[in-house]
Amino acid sequence: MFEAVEELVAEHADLEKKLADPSVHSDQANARKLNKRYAELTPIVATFRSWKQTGDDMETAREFAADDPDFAAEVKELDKQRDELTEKLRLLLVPRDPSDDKDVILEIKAGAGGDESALFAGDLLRMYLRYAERIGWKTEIIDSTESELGGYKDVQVAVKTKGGQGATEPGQGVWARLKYEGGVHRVQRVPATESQGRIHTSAAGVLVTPEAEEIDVEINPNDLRIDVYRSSGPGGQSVNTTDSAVRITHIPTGVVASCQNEKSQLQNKEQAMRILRSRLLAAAQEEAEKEAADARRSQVRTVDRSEKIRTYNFPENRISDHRVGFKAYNLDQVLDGDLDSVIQACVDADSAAKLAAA
Amino acid sequence: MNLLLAEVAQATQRLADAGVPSPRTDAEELAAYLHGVKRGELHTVPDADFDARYWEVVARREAREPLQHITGRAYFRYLELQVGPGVFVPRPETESVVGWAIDAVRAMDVVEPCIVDLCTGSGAIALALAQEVPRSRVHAVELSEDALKWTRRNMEGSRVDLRQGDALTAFPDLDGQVDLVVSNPPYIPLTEWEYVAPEARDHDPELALFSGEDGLDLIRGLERTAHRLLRPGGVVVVEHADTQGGQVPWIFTEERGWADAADHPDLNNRPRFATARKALP
Repeated sequence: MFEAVEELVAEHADLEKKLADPSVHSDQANARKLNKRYAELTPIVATFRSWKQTGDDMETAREFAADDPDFAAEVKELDKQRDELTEKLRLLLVPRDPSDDKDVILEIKAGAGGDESALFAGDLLRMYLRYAERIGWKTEIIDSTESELGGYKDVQVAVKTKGGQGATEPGQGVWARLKYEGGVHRVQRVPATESQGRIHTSAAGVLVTPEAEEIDVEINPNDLRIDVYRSSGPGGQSVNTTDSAVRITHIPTGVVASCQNEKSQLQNKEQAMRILRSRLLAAAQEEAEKEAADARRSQVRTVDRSEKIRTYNFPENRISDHRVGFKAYNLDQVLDGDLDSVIQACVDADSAAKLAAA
Repeated sequence: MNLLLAEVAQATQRLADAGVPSPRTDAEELAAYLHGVKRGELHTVPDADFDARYWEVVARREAREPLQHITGRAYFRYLELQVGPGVFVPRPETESVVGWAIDAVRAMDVVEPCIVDLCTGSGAIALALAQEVPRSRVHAVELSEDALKWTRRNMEGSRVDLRQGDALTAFPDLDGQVDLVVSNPPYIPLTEWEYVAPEARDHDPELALFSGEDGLDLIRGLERTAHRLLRPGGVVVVEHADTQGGQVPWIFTEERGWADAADHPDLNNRPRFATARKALP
């Protein structure tokens, strides 16, 4: 068990030697890279050492246990410790998603179901806002198109860890928890708009994108179409325009990003560009993932945006996630932001799948 | 949804009925202003914190008082400006005009570019240039005493050289030394008076909106002023109405000492500003 870790231990020792050499630090970028890898390996190596040590201690204790009941008790205790360390080490060895620390843009789009679908999009929005509030994340609605009955045709939310600078602990960012939300969410209930009391099925789509850094992607300005509020009159001095929203379309891919939450048109444009970059980068990565058919590919996160991932059944107060076979009868609580168990089921299934493939 | 969002939805309907062009934007901005949050954070305001004065400010907006007069603030590029009765409220189209001006002055590669803003109003253009063009020396002129009350507030602590006076005769001390002249002069043709939105017609100063029958009186005058101020190779940028794209570039002719006269659209692809370069001797 854990034979492969010996290689990581050797790599860790090698990195330690390199980082102690002052000449390595003359290349800042390389030094940062080495440091990052070193920091990644350190907990693995430390846990591996404890795991090995516990194994050795257990051997020794076992030898004496036949004659001494104190040692027999210690064997039991050490056995428990070893199980815990084994589990901890297994989890540390799960390949990490480099985006886990990032903040996200979450978009909810009503489906073909008209008003009912838009109302459901509003319910999903509220669910995510409440969930974020429970965790202590910051949420900002950066763009929205309302429907007639108070639902949403389309709404985008920026979800950030409080400082807005990604996670403080590695792997604890917004993306690590919300990445499993992307896909089609189905609702089964009697719509407010239905007079006969019949149960309808409709749906809304969720798209989650980790926020890219400035340098991650390059865009040719000629590929962009920019739309802003257009007054019915001549514009300029003749009308006091208050709507500074900006919508940017990347023509070659059809990817769209928009923002209305910033103060000026220029600031909305810059924020929309940041979102566009994130979306283009995510699209490129998904494409690459698909093509490579990488064995380590997450089995839970859906690349196919048309996949139905969840059903919200009101008559039975049931929520189910079809990817991981999760089912619970507390839909009311889930819609009030108690999303943790369904998300944890996705995280666990993803870890297990990655571990099996590693 | 919280109480505030429910009230905003009602206010949106009322503003729409009153003919406000973007009722949801205004209903949300008023709520954000009153509760001290960003527009996208209205859902975070606890019900107990709902401020009943919301309905007072909505009523003022319903009567077509400009949003920026109610909040006392206007946003322009990276600036937050103080505005109110007596001064023209900056428009988003002018943000693009300034964007072009910044690119032009950067391309000149002058160490300390000298920039003049004619008819500065709130000071939006001059302050944006001072903020975004490092080491620029920015000069601005405004005629109206009412407007200047606001200009002075906005320029407090800035390095813009502000003067009161007529744009046509301003800055005799800078003749032939200026790298960039930029202006958003009054340009609405008097014949279009009835098509001007109430927020502008009844609340922006007339002096900042209208200039003669065809709206081009001041621009024709500014052509001479710009030529006097600019060094050879210096650039002029002038905003104009969407119907004037065929006329304004023709004011900056070769016979009058200009080169590269061109017209440019705004983000809605409407003709919006003209540019020209002072010809080398």
